[in-house]
Amino acid sequence: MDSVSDDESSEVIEESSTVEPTPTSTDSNLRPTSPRHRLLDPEPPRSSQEDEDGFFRVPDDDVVPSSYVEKNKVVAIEKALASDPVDIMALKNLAISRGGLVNKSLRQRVWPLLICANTNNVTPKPSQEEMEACSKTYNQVVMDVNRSSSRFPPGIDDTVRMAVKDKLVDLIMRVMLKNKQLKYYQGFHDVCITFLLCMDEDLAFAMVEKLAMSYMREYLDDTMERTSLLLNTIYPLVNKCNPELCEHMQRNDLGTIFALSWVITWFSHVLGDIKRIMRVFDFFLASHRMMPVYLSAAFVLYREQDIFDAGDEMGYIHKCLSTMPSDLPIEYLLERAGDLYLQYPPTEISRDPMLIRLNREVFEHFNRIDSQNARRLARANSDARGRLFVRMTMWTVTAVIGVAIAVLYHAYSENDWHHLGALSPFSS
Amino acid sequence: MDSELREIEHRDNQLKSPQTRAVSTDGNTDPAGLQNVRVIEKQAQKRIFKIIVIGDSNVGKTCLTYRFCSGKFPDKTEATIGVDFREKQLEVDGENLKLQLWDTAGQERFRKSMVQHYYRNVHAVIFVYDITKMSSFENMSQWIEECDRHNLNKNIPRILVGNKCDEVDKVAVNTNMAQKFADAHGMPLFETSAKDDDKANHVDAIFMTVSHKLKNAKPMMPVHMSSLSPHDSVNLRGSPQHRGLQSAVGVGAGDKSSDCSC
Ligand SMILES: Nc1nc2c(ncn2[C@@H]2O[C@H](COP(=O)(O)OP(=O)(O)OP(=O)(O)O)[C@@H](O)[C@H]2O)c(=O)[nH]1
Ligand SMILES: [Mg+2]
Repeated sequence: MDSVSDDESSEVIEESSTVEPTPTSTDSNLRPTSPRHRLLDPEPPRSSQEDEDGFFRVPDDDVVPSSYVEKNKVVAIEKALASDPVDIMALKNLAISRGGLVNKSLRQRVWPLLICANTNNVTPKPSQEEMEACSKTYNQVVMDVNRSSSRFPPGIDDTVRMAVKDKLVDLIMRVMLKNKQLKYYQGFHDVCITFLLCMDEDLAFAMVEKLAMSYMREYLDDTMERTSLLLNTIYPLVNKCNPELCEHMQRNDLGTIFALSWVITWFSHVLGDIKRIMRVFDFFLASHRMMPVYLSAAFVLYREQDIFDAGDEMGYIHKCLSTMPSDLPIEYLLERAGDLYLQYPPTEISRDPMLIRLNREVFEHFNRIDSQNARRLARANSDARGRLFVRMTMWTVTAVIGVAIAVLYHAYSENDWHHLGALSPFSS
Repeated sequence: MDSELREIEHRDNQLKSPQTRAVSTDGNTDPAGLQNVRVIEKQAQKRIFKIIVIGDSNVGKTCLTYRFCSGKFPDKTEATIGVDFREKQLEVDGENLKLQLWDTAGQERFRKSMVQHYYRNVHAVIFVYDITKMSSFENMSQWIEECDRHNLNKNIPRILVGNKCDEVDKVAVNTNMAQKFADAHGMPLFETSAKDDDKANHVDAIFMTVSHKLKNAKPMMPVHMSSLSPHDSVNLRGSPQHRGLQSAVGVGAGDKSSDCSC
């Protein structure tokens, strides 16, 4: 907690080719600022327990590595970072192996390298008006950010939390406005908070944007079709390791929704403790994009006994899986996920007959929705056409009557009222 | 009729002040106002009724179901991602029942892809809108249409709930309009608040009304009997170390960032 700089300029990433944000820029997010998004609910006033200078720091980080293993790890990470060119493979291995990237300042330096995030020329924030103009997304984002308090470490000062929430809205909108093809989903804000709690806004933007365009691209589609296909993969994986368990889940029609928040938030919605979340992010950022699915399968397999104990009741199984035990052996589960990945790599599992069958159901479902939409659109169009037809009929009738009256009038006026003949449309 | 609850219409007499008693499952204290609380033995065979709670994001579905099942307004809510499951045991006219609530996510993308999974085998549907937000009320017809499409049986009980009526100076959906809508769809309407502690009884009464209706209706859906309750035990196995987990393909695999410019 010692090396915190107040230097405002460190928040902006310098235009340099080497990606080395100053570790001191970390906590610029965690400083109270006056909020701009007025729809954000004010934090309730509370007796403040500020740090000396109104700062808040995420517990854990930037502390001196405690164990011998951690010390060794820090040395190894520094070495990989110092080598020329930077030893990415070594960094990936270090991120995956036990303990991950150890602390926040190392994560700030290593995470962007793991996914080749573009930390140069970071797009500036859009204006407040631009954000609000994108009203549907903006409103949803604000509603979700308003309800994100439990994602902040306990003890955080209210004004600081408010400031981070404000930056969170900015961050999400910055990604969405720059890439209009992306569709915000509830849970994306959980991913974004994780980065904001670890690094400054611009670096967080570089990370989140890169993820949105790569690892998380499917989740940000218009529909959940591709996400549903991804989630289906959990079943053949469970089936390979524990066919009985898979049968039990399928017999009870469990579906895949229990794992939705796991996958699309990279477990950040459910793990609670920010340290655990960051550890899991180390692992995912260094792994294949399907890894969240492998970890989900590992979670399910780990809960085998509880799932059986829940009996033949979909609700209890769902409840059991959506409640995270506080003593989860994260490292073990990451290892298990890694083993599953090596044993049943994506190319192999994608050919699994069970997966093909499950995926067919998803395709059918979304085709049905498509055709329903098409029908509704056609109906709306034909309604519109129908109205147009009625209107045209009305015009025709009016015109015919008009002409008839005019003709009669003409005939009449021709006989007697020559001086009014100019009024007749047929007068020459 | 209770003026605060403003339960506006009783379509049938069954709905009126059901003689009900509540027992919470997780040892939470019961909301005030419901007397004769007594513990129901877990072993007893109970009828289980499944209820799905739907409506736009942020209308308060999670808060309402939490209020009912845990007896209080949650300190910190979170956006629901997917579906949450809650359960409460009740005694209605001397019969022990279990009410299982599926609290669904409001965002459109979620409902389009998954909510239908939970429409299957439900015994009742609760539609929720936010009385301070017109759009959440206007979207009700879409929710109803969708429900019609997914529910094979259109005779299952449905109720309409306008939430957040503690926000008296922000009312955007007036009662008359909501009542007309409810009438047109043959549903009873309730206006209530998950937040206001004084209205805790009313939230309970809404669910009681549904239970009462379900209990007395001829079962249209197969009614389940309760099964074992879960207990904790875990299964740990050793596993080998990691090798070669890194994404072999460069990170940008499948990345379309380069060709997108907005
Ligand atoms: N004033 C007031 N606020 C409420 C009430 N019920 C819920 N809220 C607030 O409304 C917001 C949304 O509540 P939720 O229960 O999370 O909404 P939801 O319908 O579950 O939303 P999704 O999960 O996104 O679909 C929260 O900030 C609650 O604090 C109420 O009765 N009165
Ligand atoms: Mg909810």
